[in-house]
Amino acid sequence: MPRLPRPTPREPRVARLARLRAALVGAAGLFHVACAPGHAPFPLRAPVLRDQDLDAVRVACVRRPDHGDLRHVSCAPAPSDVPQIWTPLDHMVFRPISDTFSVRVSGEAANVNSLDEVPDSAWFTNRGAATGIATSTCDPSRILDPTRSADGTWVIDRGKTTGATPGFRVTVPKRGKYMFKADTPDQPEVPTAASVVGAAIYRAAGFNTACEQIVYFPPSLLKLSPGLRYRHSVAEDPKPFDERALQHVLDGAARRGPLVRMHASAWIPGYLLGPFRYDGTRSDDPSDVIPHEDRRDLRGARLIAAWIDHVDARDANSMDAWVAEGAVPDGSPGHVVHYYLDTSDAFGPDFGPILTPRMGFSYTLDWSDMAEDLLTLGVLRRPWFAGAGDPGFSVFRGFDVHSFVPSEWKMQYENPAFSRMTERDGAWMARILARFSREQVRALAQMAELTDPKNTEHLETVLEGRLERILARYLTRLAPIGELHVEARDRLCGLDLAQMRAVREPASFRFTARWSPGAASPDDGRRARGLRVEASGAGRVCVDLPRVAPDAGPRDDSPQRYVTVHVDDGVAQGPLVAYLYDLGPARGYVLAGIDRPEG
Amino acid sequence: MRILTALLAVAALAVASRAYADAAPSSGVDATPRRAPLDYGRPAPPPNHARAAALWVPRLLLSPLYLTTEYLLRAPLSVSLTAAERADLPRKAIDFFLFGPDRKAGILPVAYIDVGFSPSAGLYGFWHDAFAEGNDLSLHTEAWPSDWYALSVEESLRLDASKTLQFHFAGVHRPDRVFYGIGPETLQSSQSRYTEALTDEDVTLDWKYFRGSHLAMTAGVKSESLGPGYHGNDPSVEREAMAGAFPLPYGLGGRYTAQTNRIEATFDSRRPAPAPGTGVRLDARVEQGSNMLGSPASGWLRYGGGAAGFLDLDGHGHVLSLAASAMFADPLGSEPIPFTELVSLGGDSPMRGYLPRRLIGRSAVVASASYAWPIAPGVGGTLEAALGNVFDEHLEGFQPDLLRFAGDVGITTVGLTESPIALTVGVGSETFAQGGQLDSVRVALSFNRGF
Repeated sequence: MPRLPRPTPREPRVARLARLRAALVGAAGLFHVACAPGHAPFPLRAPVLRDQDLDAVRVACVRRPDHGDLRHVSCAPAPSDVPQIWTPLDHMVFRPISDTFSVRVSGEAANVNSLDEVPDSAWFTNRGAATGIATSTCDPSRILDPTRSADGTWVIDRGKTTGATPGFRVTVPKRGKYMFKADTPDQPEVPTAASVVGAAIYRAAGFNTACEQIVYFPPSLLKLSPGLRYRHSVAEDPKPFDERALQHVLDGAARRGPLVRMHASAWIPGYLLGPFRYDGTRSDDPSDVIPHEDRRDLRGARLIAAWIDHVDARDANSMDAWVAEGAVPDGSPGHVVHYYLDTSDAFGPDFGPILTPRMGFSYTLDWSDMAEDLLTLGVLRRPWFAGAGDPGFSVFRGFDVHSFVPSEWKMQYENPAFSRMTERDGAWMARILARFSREQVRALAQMAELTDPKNTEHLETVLEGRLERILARYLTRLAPIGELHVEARDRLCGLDLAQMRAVREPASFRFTARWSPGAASPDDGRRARGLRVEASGAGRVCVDLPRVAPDAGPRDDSPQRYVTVHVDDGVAQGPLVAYLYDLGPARGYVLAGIDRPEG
Repeated sequence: MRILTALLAVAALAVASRAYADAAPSSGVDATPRRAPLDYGRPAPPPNHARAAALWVPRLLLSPLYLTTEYLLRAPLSVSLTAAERADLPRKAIDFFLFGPDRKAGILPVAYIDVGFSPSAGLYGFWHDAFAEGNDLSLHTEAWPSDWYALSVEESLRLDASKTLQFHFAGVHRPDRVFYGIGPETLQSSQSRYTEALTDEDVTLDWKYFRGSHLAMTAGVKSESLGPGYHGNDPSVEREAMAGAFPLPYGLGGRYTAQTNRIEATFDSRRPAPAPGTGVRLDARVEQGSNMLGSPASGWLRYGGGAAGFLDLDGHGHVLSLAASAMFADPLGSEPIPFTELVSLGGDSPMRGYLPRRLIGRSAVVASASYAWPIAPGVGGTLEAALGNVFDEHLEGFQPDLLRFAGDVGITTVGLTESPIALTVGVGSETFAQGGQLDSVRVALSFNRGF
């Protein structure tokens, strides 16, 4: 508030009013700058591109028996399991009750940098626009080649002790350990295809996955170790995994002639710690300090799960691995890496005749849907009664485009991170998914190695259609302009991913830009001024920035150098807001922050 | 003193052992302390103090519920269920109830609650393919102190894919059976109780010939002993009869043993779920009973039938149905029919809004409309409205204003268990001539078929 000078005696009333008015305007201006448009100025500093959880840490050493060595000392976090009974019970019943009674509200994700992006971390890596889709998720050293293997050299050394999918663990000479899983006679080729393609999508998007591959091999390569056992869940008695059980698995698998088709998931490197949870943190990992339900990467992954109908995206289908810097697998220092696993339920989950129609639309125990149906006597039109799926492609069950509503998609039971996905989290993931071109989606469908070309074509059509629905929903509310950067010192350029992906008709895109000094909103008509925009029509858009400060003079981070730029593409409801510092003609502009407010 | 010293030494040794087990050779480097969250460089949004303050109002109001569910329920369950899973207790618990190869045998707890009657709890045991494939055994027992007990034993032999031979024995002793008099104009206020001691042995040949259709022929012997009963403040039937509410019913205070023969025929065109539920059902039954002990010879003939039409409105279990049925009981010989062998409405019979055997007479007619709809996977809702009543022989005295209304709404499992688990809430009215007021309420929760 500027200090008002003491009035001189007998100052005319008009003059006194004028000075008062000037003081009030100045105060209002300061108030406006300080308090709008919603936050303090972005500091002038490099954006955080790398998260601290990639740095090695030391964990307290404890005695932890390992493979019969009672005196073994481990300097890694403790392996743990996600309880198979309590976890879904908590997610379906007790957590919703707790959240309701505590009136818990969630906000924006915590691990978002000044550019509205997620830094590289132990969870997620910015892989630069979904590169490498056509290639597998595997290092060449882990690719299996049955033609180069002799009979009896693939040793089955462990039965599968969790999950409904039939399978077993195999150790392949010079390649390592793999979990082999088969399709079922009711749904040939689809689960194995979903495992491989789903992993490829997650990896291309930036997440960590195991090496997944489809393998056609003669059963004679397998050699069964004696004394193995298997079961599908903690409620079952372990049964002997003997020749009869093995034959049962092989009999149900899809085949090409004498070759059995299975999906091989390579053992994840490192010291395995067990699955991660979608809520809370791992208490013995010093770097795991953001509650998982507040991580943008985990929240945004909801859209990938929706895209491929991965209703089983639960805690148990994940893995943490401790990567030690030394030779000892569970030695310190090291850090934890987080993996996504097992997308075999995608592309049309089959949970039996009672549950399958609801998958993707309603939780297994969906209290709000149940209450609505009870009180309305079932008169509401429910999508699971409308008949999902496409005629002639029942092998894909309800995996289709026409019944898919991205914002309403649900997995089989509530996921704490998915439930907290905000519009910004969804827009972030949509910008990543927009980089999957039609050619890349075609390549994904071909990775499924489906025998019938019609199924491959159908898979491609559905993947593309569902992706388009996701992009149409999540690239049209918040500004879809990404890869924002400064070129030639005074041009702000970016890529409108909605235009690049043709979410709307080309004529719908009309780019405008305006700027205002300081942090004031360009919506203030007195201060906003238009900017020249150059749009290529393929999504690239550039804005010429004005000069507001000289090279010398104010400090680099002075408010006098601070500029706010709004860019609208004519389609999205909200603008892209860029915050920059003009360091003068010689050094040019520096992009300090990005915001995508809702319209 | 020596003992105390020994105990202290053992305790010290245990503590030292634990410390040795947990401790490890020190590498001389400390563990990394828990990091502070990184500053990702986004300025915090301006605090919305008004919103934050407003949220505390419901939080404070709901805090007792939150503290209870969070710390008395969720936290202990989290620890205990996780520990139980690590100790393999779920599998052991299931093995306790289900056993044998492929878990074909088991014993499960069951219960039945019907407000207005004594509850019952018991066990249901089963053994599929007992001693031979296709031979199923079941045993069902329930009780409630001190005079309520029941037992049912059944052996079911699958002769082929469609025919089954069943041997069945049941024994029930319960003192809380209700009686209001006989005929169309009985009053709710005449509620009284009698004790029924029943044994029933029969053999049935059941032939499922088409979808839900079946033909069943049963021959058996039943023995009933009927005496004074009690429940809550309700009087016995004898006392209520002495008060003039109704004549003492034939059979009360005595015992009869009857040889029974029964044929039931049902035609049901509906396919089993999850197929659409559109179709028709026609059913007819006739039962002949002969009192083996009475003189002169006596017995009864019970017969009746019904028709129902079902329309699945969308092919997904939203089923509207209309049904009509009529039942008759005629004496064979000169003796009246024991009142327990008369036609009855209520309970699991038509007009579920009434308690079991609320309406007793020589004949009955009921028309009903019902609606069933899915609520959740394997759970459905039911809604029924019925008009009907009992009358004298062959519907003598039938008048529309002697009809009653019964309605009920319920939630039931569908296809999840052998016997549905159901919660039913119903109401029943007096006759329209009496005013048609709703004068009875029924609430029933069943985890089994009940006795």
